Amino acid sequence: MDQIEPTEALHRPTSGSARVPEWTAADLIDLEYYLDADERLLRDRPSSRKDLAARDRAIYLEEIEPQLGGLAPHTYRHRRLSLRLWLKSRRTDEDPAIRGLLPGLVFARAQRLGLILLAFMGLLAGISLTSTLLDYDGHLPVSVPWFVFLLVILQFALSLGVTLSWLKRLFRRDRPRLDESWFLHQVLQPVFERVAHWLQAQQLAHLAADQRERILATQGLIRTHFSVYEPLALLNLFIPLQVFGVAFNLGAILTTILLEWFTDIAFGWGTSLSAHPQTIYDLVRLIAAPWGWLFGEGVGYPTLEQIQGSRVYLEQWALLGHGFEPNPEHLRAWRWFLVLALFTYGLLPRLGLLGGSLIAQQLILRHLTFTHGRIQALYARMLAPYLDTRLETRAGETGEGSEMYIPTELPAQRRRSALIGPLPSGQILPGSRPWRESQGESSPQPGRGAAPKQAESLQPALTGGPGAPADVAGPDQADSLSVPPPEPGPAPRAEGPLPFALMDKGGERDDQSEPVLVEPSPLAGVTSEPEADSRPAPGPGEEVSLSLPSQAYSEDIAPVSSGLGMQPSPEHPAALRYEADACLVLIHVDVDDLLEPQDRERLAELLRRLSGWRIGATAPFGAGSQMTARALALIEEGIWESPPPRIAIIQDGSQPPITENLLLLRELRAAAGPKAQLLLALVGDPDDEDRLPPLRAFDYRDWQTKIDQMADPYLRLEMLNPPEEEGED
Amino acid sequence: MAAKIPRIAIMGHPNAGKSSVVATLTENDQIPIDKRAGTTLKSDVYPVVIDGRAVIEFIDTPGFQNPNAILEFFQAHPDLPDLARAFVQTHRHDPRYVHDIELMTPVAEGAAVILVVDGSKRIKEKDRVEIELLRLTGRPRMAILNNLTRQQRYMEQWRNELSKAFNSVREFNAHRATYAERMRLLEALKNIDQRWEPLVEAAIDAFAHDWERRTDEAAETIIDLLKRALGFKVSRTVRHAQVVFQSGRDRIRAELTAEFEEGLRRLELEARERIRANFRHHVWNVPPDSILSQDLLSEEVSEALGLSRPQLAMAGAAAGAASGVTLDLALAGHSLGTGALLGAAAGGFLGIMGGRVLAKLNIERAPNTHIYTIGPVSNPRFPFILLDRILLYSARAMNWAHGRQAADEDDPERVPDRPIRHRGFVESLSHQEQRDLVHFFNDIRRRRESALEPTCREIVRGLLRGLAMDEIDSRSDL
Repeated sequence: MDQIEPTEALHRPTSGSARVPEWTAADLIDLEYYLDADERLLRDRPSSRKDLAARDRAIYLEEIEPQLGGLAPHTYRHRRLSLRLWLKSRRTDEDPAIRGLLPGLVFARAQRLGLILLAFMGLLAGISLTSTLLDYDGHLPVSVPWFVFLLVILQFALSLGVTLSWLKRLFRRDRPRLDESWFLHQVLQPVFERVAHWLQAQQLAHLAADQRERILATQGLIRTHFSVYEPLALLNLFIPLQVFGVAFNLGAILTTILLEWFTDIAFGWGTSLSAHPQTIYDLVRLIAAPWGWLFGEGVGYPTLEQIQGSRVYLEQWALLGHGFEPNPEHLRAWRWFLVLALFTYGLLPRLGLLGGSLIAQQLILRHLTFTHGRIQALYARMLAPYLDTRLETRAGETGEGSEMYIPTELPAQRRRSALIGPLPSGQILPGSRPWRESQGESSPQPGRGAAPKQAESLQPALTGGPGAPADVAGPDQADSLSVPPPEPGPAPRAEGPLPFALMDKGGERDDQSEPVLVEPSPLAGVTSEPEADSRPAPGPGEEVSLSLPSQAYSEDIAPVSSGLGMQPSPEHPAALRYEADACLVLIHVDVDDLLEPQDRERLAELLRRLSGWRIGATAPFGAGSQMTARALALIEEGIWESPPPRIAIIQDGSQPPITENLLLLRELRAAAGPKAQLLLALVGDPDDEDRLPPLRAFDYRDWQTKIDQMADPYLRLEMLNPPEEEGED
Repeated sequence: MAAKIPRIAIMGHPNAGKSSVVATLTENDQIPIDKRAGTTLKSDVYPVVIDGRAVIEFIDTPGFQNPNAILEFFQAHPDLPDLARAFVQTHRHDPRYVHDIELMTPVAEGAAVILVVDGSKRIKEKDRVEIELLRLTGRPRMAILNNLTRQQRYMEQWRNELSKAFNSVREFNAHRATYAERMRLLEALKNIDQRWEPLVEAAIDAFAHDWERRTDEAAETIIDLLKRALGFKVSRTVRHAQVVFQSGRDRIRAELTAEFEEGLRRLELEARERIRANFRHHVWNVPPDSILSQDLLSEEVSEALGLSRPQLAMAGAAAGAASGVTLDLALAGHSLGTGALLGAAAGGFLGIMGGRVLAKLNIERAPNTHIYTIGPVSNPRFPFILLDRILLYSARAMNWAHGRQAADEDDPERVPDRPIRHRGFVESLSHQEQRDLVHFFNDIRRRRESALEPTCREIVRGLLRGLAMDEIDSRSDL
């Protein structure tokens, strides 16, 4: 067992929802390792797409789903548990010879070994430093100030500094863009980046263009990884340091106690300054404040008289034995003070930091949303029914080309006046594209494609979804998505049937699964009703029974205020509510203009295969700032259940990616939040026979290198309709 | 202002084929072209220099990166006199627009615009945006429909859309354009700005002259090749002792034959290299499946090129030459040795081509030594085959568009090279011309000055000219 699950003991669930081990850093490493292996396989052999889909779906159905106890898919908890169980299954299936060499296990071992080594070194350092400081040859007493300064004050200052900087970090996360540690971010980081850029430019200039492109793309990938796991990576460096600190202090304390027990040490203090013993006494009392009340004067800290008596005047000590007789009790009075000071100011803060960082690690692990691009693909593979799941066909070498400008990230939550262009504020001219007016169809409406169906879908829904529990709106996180709640996320429990059950229903499915477009009315209660009902009626009976445990599960969670989900609707008449598996679909006008009604159904189907999402609303984009503004409004004013938001972008991939396209992605990211799931689905050049044709692998590679360079971990690039390598099954 | 030479910025979306158009127009196959998007990173100026003076400049630009933003900027400032300049000045330091600035700068400086669009694709939003924003710049402009495929369905739509905003719209396949098509495109440039007419005219004249010169040089190269190949001989002096036995004689004969054949091949390659350089090709090479890549002396080549046996017999008989070769022709070579026996003093024959001896081996005996000599070529078909091959090569070189380096030759939708009869060029010459050629070849073989050389040079030149002007089919399938 230990070999399979190196980092924890696994409890097999007996019934009900799964008791799955929590994530650890080693698990994450292995997960990324497997994801990477899959991706490489796909890149080398795009036809293995089908095998992967079959494998992951089988794992899900056989090993994961039974353990989930009917959690609704696309929720935070479901995703987390499924992925963890998937990893476990992959590890179990691993060749026993390789199992021991999985990077996660190796990492865990290395970490353990490192911790032991560091602890040992800390202990040694503590012992040797302390024994040096307490070295008493019977002549001059051991210097108390040195001891206190080196082992207590210095250490305490270090701990305090670390604590402060972490508090600052915490503070910053809550309120982004506050002045972060100024020196680091304004001076050091830019300088480093400049230098790195310059060095790189020197190097890159000598490389062939496609090599250069590949390096830039790899760099993007590394940045992607780092931005997902940054806090974890830092903690993994931080914890060993604390272990060292704790061991150091233990060593120091033990050495002090032992030396005091077994040897006779005289402590004294001296200074060239004109310090009155009273001052020293006050200082000592201050230092001893934490324990002084417990042990009292004389034991916890020396009395004024003892302090006076332990003062060292060198000229007196020269006369030792010739008339100068210091009181030995005074010289020993410091002993417990030193031990207690070490304990209080050295060991305790370190222990606190260690505990704190362990807790922080747990929290971060528990708060990982698992929504970044590569995981999206895996998750979709697991959820998508049948074996015709579409996968990334990441193809071989990266494209050559340009140092086309890759736009940098935009600050979140700041609406620019000009959305794609350099317009001064308020100068978006309507009607400046005569050709669009003539096309009539192009007025972008939120959920335009779904609008007529919306009414239909609401009608039957009002008459009764059988026993579906009323939805509880999750906290509105449309704008602050950084950390979902640690406890099972918002609204996992109230979900209806799993989406793949819907796939069986053939023609009906569109109406039924049609997204939940509800105009929130001023009253929260009113809104939640149709909204809950508009979910598809549960299909096969099993789904109903599956939902039972989840209901039970929901009871132990305090319902989140449903008012949170309600935007004041008068202000946002267009505000939409997106269910946990519904997404916003943005369609480029080049594609959108051509789509027939049946194509929209097909689009919904393809999208579901790709991501497992239903369409919550659609909007066109690509013809000017106004259109972009409307699309962004749909995101920002939308009410997202089970955040982070889900946005699918349908783009004509037969045209090479240009800065404009990438800028739009940055705009969407800024509007939707740093962890929103963006899916960029490319279609080929639409023609009359096929409005959603497959994309050529060549064009896909072109896009891929650019997207990689953007280093957006939660952005996933896919072909909407990948070409068939084999026949459909 | 008026004294300025025409500057023409070739603009368009990434991957529309701008660089290919520039490469083909300026006959410069050193311009980096890739079928992946975004190869051109800055505006490169390719001037046409005549006698040290630039007469016209083509500017290869990177593709639009933010067409919507540029258009909206233009529309937001309807009152500005020079939008392109204003755009460049406003956004010069914005890294987002680095390519856009690069491509708008020539326009801001007054260059005319050639918009290159991919005519095989549907008109998309960005195309309309680009058309509109170029219209707003108010510069003289022309559009090139660069359609590399057979897809014709959108061409009419494109033409309509483009003609609303452009002074001139032309189709131009940058991968197939011949000399003639290039010249027609340059002609059209005259129309987009009247002031430029004299300069464009000068450029066209210069191109035409240059072309004429190159044709002459090519013809000279070809005549030279014929003269050298047909007069080519290899000989070796051997000591008597080496040829006492049959095996020794055979070995020497084999070595000489190889040397002779190799010499002929080398002569052809040298001529090719000259022609290639003459037409400014650096990267182009004959495709491996072409008849040009096969061995000069192979059976396939002799079947595909040259004159057929009856044609040759007629030409030869009419020429009335009473040489052994003619006799050989008349007998139609039923017995391989007949002609050879008549002509050769001693020894045997070697190198069979088209069922016929290529050249004869001559052995002169002297005290203690033998002189083995092979050549000159006696095979009557060979000169025509050689001529056909080098003409074919020239045709490919002349008509191979310089912008074709990145063509996707496997694309099933690409424009096919023209369909062609499966024969060489010389057979389409008149009888008189063929007869003149036969005479000329015979004269060369006998190593005497031929009075017909100017005539034959004219024949070759005529063929080359016809090839360039699309009057003679270039047989690009061979």
